[in-house]
Amino acid sequence: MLLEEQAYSFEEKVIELHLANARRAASGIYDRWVKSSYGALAKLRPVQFGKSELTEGAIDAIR
Amino acid sequence: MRSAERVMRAVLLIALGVACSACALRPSLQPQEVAQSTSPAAPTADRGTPSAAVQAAAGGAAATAAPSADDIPAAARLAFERATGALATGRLDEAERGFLALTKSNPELGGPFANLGLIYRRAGKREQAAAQLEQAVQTSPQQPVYLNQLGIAYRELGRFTDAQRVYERAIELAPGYAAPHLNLGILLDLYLWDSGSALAAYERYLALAPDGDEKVRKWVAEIRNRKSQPQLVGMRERP
Repeated sequence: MLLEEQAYSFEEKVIELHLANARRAASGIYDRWVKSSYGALAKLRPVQFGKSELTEGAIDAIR
Repeated sequence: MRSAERVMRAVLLIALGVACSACALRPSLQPQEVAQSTSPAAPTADRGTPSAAVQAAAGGAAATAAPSADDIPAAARLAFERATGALATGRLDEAERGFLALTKSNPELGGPFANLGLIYRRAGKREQAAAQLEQAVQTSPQQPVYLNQLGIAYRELGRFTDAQRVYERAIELAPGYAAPHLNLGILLDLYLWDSGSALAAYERYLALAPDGDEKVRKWVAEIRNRKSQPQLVGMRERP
C-alpha cells in the first residue's frame, strides 16, 4: 500500500475518533477533550462543524 | 514516512482524549465545573441549573407586560446609548463601566446586564457572561434578544438543554426574529446530534432571511447529503 493511502486511512481514523468524542456532548459531556475534538473537526470538516452562532456586537434593546 | 508518523501520533493523542473524556462520565466532573468561574458579581443562579426566577422568566407566558419605553429616565437612556456606542466600537472598559453604573442606578433595565454579558463573553468569562444574561432575562423576560444571547452563553457552558429551552422561548416570543432559529439549528446539529430537527430550524431561518444566506444553504445541503450517505461518517469533506 502506498504511503499516501496509509496516511489517508489514518486521517479517516482521526475523524472517526473525533466524531466519537464529540458525540459525548449529546449526553452532557463538554470537557476540554470534547471541545478539542470540535476544534479539530471544524478544520477537518468545515462545512459541518465550522459553524458559529449569530450574535449581536452590542444590544440596543434597553429592556 | 514522516507524515504517516505525524498522523499516527495524532491518532494516539485523540485516543488519549477519548479515554480522558470517559473519565468525565463521573458525576463530579460536570461541564460547568470545567468552565471558567471568575464571577465576583454573579447573581443567585445555581450552578448547573438556571435559577427559579430565570426558569419562570424564560418559560412563563406573557406574565407581565413590559413598561412603555417612555418611562425610562432620559439620563439613563443617554448613558445606555453612550455605553452601547463604546461597546460597538470596541472600547470595552468604558462600556463595562457605563453598564455597571446603570445596573446600580437603574436595575429595572435588562439592557445593561445583557451587554455586560456580551463584554464578559468577549473576555472569555463564560460563567460571568451567563450570570449577567440570566439577570437580563429575569429583568426583562419578554425580550427575545436577551434570551437568544443567554442561549449562546448556555451552549458555551455545555448546558445544551437549557440553551434549547431559551432559544425556543425566544422563538415563541418573536417568531420573526431569525437569530434564535439559526442558533437553535446549530445547537441541534452540532451538540445534540439531531440533524433532522436542525434541518428544520435552518430552513425556518432561511425563510426569514429575505436575501438568503449562502452559507446556511450549504449547511442544509450538507445535512441532506449526510443523511443520504450515512456510510461516509469518517470521511473528510471534499473541498
